[in-house]
Amino acid sequence: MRVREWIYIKPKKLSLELIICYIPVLLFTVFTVFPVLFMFSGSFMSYYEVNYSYGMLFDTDSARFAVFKLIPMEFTLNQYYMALLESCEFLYRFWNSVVLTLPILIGTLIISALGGYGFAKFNFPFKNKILFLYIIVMLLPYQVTLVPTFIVLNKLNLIGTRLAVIIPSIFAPFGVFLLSRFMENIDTDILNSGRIDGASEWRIFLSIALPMAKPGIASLAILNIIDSFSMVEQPLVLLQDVNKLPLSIALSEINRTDIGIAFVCGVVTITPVILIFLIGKEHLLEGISNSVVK
Amino acid sequence: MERTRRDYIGILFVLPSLLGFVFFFAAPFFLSIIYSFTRSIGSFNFVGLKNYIDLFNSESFALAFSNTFKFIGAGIPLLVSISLLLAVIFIHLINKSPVAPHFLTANITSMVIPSAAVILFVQVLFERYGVINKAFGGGVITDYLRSEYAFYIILVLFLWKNLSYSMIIFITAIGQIDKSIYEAAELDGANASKKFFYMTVPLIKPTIVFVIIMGIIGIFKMFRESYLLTGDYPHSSIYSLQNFMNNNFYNLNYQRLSAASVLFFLIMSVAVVLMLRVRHEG
Repeated sequence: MRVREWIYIKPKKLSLELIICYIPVLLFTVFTVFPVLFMFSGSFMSYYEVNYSYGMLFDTDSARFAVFKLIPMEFTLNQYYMALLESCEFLYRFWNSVVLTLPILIGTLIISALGGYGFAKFNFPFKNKILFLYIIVMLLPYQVTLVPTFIVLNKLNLIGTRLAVIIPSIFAPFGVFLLSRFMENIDTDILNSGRIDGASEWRIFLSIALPMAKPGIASLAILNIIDSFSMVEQPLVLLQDVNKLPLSIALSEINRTDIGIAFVCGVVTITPVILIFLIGKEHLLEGISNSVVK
Repeated sequence: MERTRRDYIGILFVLPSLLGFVFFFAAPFFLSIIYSFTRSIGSFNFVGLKNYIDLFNSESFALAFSNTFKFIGAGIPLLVSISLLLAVIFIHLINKSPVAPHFLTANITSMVIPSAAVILFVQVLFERYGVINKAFGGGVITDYLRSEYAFYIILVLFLWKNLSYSMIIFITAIGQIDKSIYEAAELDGANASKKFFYMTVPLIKPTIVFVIIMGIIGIFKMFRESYLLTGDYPHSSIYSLQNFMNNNFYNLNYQRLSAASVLFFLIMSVAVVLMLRVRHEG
């Protein structure tokens, strides 16, 4: 009986249609993944190999050109050692990035959860007009609010401190917008049943709405980490101290001056972000689908 | 929607965000509007529309402005069409093969990578002694990053970063459509392209608007890569509004910067109104 069924349910044939569909997908995947592979392979090369293949990139005059080396001739962890243990510079910059990213993450989640819930589930006066403003400001490039923000921060004597970058980022409208779209999908009936049971609004928020919004919060967290880790405009202008510059800016300098460890630095920059992404992947995809489709 | 007394409690929830928003974004911007009408920041000498007229006469502003539009005009249609196409292909594949979802995970790494990390790759390709020059140069060295090609490089970089995310958004949106309507259409004799253009696309109009919004945000974020690759004064093909504003900032020309910001804000407002209207139509 079993064998017969198995014979009838053939494995899917490799039809022409399937192949035609796979080609673009494969091409696209190679397109997106190649730079990452390139970084990883370069990070395992010895200093000499890196220099031979890529060292001349920034020279003014050179006889040779760079060569793509996807597989190192000599697999070595030497560069990792150099970048991470020998010199403090990279780790120092990495720490700078972390010191900015974490507070921004925590602050953003709190503010956006509260605000998103308020916009989603309550219909207070001017709500739509304010939301409209949020959307526009969200779309504006950072430079548009640069000068006034700078002046405000200056009056508060915050220029040059890390708070100058952290505090405005916490209040960026994107988080509230994303979570509000997400929380709109929470069933109001469940919230109402909480109200009937006599719970306070704050209690309802904490015990009912927040847990239900977990996917949205997770996706906001991931997007926020990625964004804060890469931010360039704010630290440039608001942090006047070169020592406080985060990795996102320092990396391009390292590319120029010390290409040996540049690959390693790139990999070490990418890896935590990818790890966080892999961990939260499920939530992210769920979050996107819930907040977008109406 | 009727407003009950409970709705006012919403204000309490929104208050932290609102206070921060007003203090760090709205009020400063309002200040900016005022500055755009003055001669210099210290004193409040009002000069009317002089700054705006200066702006219209400024070559660099015109350049930045037109570049921004060029990017959006080229980038967004490409982004939407390619990601939509890929999404459709992908959905087709998902039904037929169990391997497909893993490709998605691989693809989305491009969205996750911080700007600084990717530029090394770009530099290896396009710098003076990079791979492209060797492969296609034939002896002639073109400094791609500082030439007309820079526009296309940044454009492709933009697509590289944002296609995956847009594709996933479309996949989930199309996935939500009730499949039975397609069967009904087939009974009426609709072929694949009719099904797509007259049924799928209108149904996901709000999603398309969302992708466009995220795409525009993405284009503005390309400033980061452009800055890390080419600095304060890049080639004219990629000189962006952000470059313009940044440089005015360093030159202490705050009034001009403010005027540019206000103009930009007005244009974005119009765009957002239009977009919101489209999404509510759906």
